[in-house]
Amino acid sequence: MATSSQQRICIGPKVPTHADNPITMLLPCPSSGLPARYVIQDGGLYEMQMVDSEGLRSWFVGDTIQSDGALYLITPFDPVFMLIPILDTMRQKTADAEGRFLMLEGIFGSCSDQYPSLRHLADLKNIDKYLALVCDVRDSKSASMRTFRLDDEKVMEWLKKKVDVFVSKFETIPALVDSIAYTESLPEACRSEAITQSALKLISANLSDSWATKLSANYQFPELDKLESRTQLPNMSDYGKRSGMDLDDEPKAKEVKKPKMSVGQRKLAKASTAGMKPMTSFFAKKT
Amino acid sequence: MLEARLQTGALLKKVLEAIKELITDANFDCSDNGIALQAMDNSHVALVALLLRHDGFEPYRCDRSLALGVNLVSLSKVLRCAGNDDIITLKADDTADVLSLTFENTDNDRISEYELKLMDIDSEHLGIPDTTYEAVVQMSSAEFARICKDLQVLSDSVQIDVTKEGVKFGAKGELGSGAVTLKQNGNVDKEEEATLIELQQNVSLNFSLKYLVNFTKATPLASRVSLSMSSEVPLLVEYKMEAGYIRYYLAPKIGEDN
Repeated sequence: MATSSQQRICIGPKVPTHADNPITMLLPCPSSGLPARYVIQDGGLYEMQMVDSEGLRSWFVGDTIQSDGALYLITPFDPVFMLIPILDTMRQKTADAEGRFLMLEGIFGSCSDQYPSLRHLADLKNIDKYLALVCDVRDSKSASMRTFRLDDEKVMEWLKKKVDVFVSKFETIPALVDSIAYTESLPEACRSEAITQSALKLISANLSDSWATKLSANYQFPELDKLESRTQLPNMSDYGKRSGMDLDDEPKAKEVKKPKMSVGQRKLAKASTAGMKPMTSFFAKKT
Repeated sequence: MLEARLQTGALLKKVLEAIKELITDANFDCSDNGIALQAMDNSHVALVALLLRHDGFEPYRCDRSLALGVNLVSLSKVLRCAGNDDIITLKADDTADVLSLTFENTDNDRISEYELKLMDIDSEHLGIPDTTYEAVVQMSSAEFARICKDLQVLSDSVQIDVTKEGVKFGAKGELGSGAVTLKQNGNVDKEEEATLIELQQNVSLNFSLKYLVNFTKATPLASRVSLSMSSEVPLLVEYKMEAGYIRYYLAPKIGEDN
């Protein structure tokens, strides 16, 4: 897919031959609110991700070399994730008022100072249906007068369903199964909790912090918590970083003899640390 | 896998000398961005953060993030086998079992190859926020090393007072007392020796001299050092290199009247 005269290497969904030209645009990322690149084609929304080579790599294309070594990935993106934060701001909910109902144009039209491309979302296929999934809908006499307002309960229901779908498909995705490989030797209850937790994390990656917290409040992981108190579980960020993670490592660690200290360290061992607080009291541990 | 070729091997030797006196084992975290290391000393009152950026190597290649667990004493022993002018190439594959080091001497066509066994190190990374310090002193690194060494004769701790006029290092002990004051100067002739102070607020803090002397092992890496201080937060001693830095953090001594 060539978006301009500049050539890029891109992995994307199969495009029908008579499809419209794709529109690429900047939209606020649902989790961070920062601008990110999205594509709309044939009424579908796609997320674009770039694997940046930082100028260190390039591509061979046939007999030529292309200096831009980045790889672009275009994957379908559920528009509802995109809609939640937009609707959340547009309804202007306050402590004592539920907020206002808006028409389609009102939702995507007026908040577009920073993101004029938001208006394209109104052209998505079945946008009404997507909105209805998470909104209270008020129908006026004519269909064009439909108004929408985000409904917290509906959002939660939809998100929970999304998690359920993920859980049901979990075993079919090898990369995900690998990520919870540490549970193989653990009881079934523990494993199924790990799957739910993993699904929850993946869904939350597309949500703002406040929604992610609300969603996770619906889930408890008693078995995993028990396990956590015994050993430190690897989290998703460890995945791919460490190979051969082995829970049986613990007993071995005790056999390691005390490492020898260098001259400087022996001197430091004599230093008085009275009145000095440990580093961990100044800097938080990274999780 | 990791492959990093360093034109001036002396740099790596100096880096190792600078950290091996503070910590025993540490993970070299290799990523696209370069090679980084973060570790605390045995008493957990000091922390060192090292970064060798990718552009300091030619070429640098790291496809996947790797943590290379190294005993620093062993590594510095191996590095002693390298000449100062040698080109050093570091290599490790994704299993991270061994670190291979190649030293090439272009003058006499000598190539030496070493392999160092790696280990699994459980390391906790601390998130260090970017903060604005109340006082930042930039000075000659040799001068800082000398002051710390001199004052150590008198006491185990030093009081550092920064005002807009200058920075004062004072020590008091059974023997007597001593102080070195450096006036803020924009010495244009000797830029390397100038003492520059950026000040939001005067600070007065106590630090362990043994630790500061330990940090000055990094002096050969940079001609300048910066000391960043705010009350009741760790002192940051930073040595900047061409492509990277070495930063030491030290907790202040609180509740000690010197």
